[in-house]
Amino acid sequence: MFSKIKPKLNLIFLLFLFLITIPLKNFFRDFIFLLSKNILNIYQEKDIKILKLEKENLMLSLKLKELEYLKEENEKLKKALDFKKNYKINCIGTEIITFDPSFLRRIIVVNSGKNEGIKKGMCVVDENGYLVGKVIETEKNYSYVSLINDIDFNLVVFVGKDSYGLLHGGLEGIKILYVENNKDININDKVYFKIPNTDFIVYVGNIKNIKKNPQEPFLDLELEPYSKNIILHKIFILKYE
Amino acid sequence: MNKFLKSFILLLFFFLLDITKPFGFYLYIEFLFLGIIFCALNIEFKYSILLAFIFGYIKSLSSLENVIISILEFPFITIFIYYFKNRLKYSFINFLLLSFLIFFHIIINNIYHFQAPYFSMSFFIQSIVIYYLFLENKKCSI
Repeated sequence: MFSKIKPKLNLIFLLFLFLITIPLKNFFRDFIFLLSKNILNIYQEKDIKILKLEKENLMLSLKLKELEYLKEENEKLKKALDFKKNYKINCIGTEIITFDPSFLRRIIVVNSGKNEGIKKGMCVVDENGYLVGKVIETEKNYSYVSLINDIDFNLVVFVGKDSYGLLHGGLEGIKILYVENNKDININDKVYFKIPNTDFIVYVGNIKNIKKNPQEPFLDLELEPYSKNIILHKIFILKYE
Repeated sequence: MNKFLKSFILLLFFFLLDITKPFGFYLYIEFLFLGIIFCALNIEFKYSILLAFIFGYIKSLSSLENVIISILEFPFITIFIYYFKNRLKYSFINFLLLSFLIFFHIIINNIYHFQAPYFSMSFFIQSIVIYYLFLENKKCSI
């Protein structure tokens, strides 16, 4: 058909054809990800038992960490937190469909979405229970997860015994912002995140470097994440109410 | 096989490399971006502009872009190269052109992601090295 048309008209026709498909971008995106998800599901069926065991293992390791944390807390604090014990938490094993092609972003697309009960803001952990990222966008069949070293990743975390700050990702290193200068923080102090309305603790990493400038009100903290190379890990989304 | 189809397959392969990231985050480059430059330098303008539009669109499908920035950026790169292509007599000028385009890509991405000015030296160096190692080689010309 194209050979009968002049080459210039041919090009204009193709460009026109292409331009009219631009508004259908979301439809194509949904279609591609749904297709990838179905292909992944075929392969996943073989690994369901392994995935189930890994899921149980993850839940147990999270519970263990929770118990360790609770042990450290004093009785008074425990009593104050008693009302929060009727929580519901579960996790879902998920697979990476694609990575964001941009060199600046650290975003992955996973094959679980609104249909699986995934919501924006949920935490993503590896098989050891260490934080990998959080869900930033959900669609019916897939979700976008921002990794902790993404430039737009922000999360309130606890540092050491009694401090907290804002974990901010970045290509030059992960930093913890707004931790007051007078706080007692040491290198190798653990950084963790507490899941809202629960006592579940998700460890993120430890403090790698501390810079203290007396003229500034906040410390400059650098984080060494526990979970480094996401490709080598299985990932789970923690579902909570 | 005609040049358009060859280039299409090459760019599709580069795109797959970008979204599967077989080298993890250790390699800071965008293969598709380098592929677009390569095609613009080596094939006819009408084919390269069409490929730039198509792959700009495909790239925007797989990322969280709300504004379809790649659809505008890739054809711009192709037009820019088309304008300078016949003036490139020395390999050093070719190198300058490539450096400028990588620099342009970094700036566009910084603006788009509201990043504070951040010049990724790793991206710059790795892109140039990969381009000259694998794409500049005359044996692999389309």
